[in-house]
Amino acid sequence: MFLQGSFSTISAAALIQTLCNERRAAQIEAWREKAVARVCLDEGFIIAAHCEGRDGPEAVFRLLDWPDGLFRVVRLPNNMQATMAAPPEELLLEAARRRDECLR
Amino acid sequence: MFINWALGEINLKIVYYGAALSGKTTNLQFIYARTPANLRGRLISLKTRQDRTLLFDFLQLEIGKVANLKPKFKLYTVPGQVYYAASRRLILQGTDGVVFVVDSQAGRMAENEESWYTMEQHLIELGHDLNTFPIVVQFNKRDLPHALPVQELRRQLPIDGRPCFEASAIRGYGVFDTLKASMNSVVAAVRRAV
Repeated sequence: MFLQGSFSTISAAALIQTLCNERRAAQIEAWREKAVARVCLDEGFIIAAHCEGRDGPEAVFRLLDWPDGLFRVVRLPNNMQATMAAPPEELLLEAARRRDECLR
Repeated sequence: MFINWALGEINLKIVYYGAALSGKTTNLQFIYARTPANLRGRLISLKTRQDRTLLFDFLQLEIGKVANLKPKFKLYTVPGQVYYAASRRLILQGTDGVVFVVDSQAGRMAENEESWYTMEQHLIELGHDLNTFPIVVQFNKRDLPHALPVQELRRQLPIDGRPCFEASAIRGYGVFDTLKASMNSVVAAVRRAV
């Protein structure tokens, strides 16, 4: 474990963007009440995600909706299988678009 | 601004802001098509109602290093429709400069004014000083028959002394003049800051 904190200190969106900007190979593990999430990053891309029973982009959207929670950033597991390769901006903007259209 | 020490790059963000269908996306498509493939990243396109949100990044080698770092520019458009306020605010976070794209057509001034007002509100909320923040104005669609005179556009929008360029983004006219002015003003602001 090399970084941990609360989403009240840094948002999930900012955390993901910072790690991707630095092209870190890392796994974010997050939890809130009984929910858990995992987002894997490598070379500036989100390469896998799981949150509350969802995988892929939908899992990232679900995590971005969390109002609070705790996280830790750990080394990317050696046997990690990439299931996607999405630039973080693409998923963050899509999440914002969905939010705007829901509020409409 | 984001400094990537590992790559020796300084990432600078320019947002193309303006009313829906003012030509923001056309600007970015033209720039992307004429940027060498080895210097640009992937074009990301998100469909919103009426228009699209585009973004891509590219290394700008002509401008020279900034604080001994290679400048990489990220260009974004915002979705223009009124109800995409949260998206626009998210996109403006961390931006180093704005290109405000004006639709020159008579009958579009209300949308231009509304868009200008929301841009100012977002920038103020994000802590920017409007007197010093790099904003470049593009009067787009100058080729259309119902385009208002530039003096009229200047009179109706609070442009003050900001750099302005006439353009027809669909024909490519004025697109790079606008971009270069924005990049130069952003780099000048960064150089003043460091």
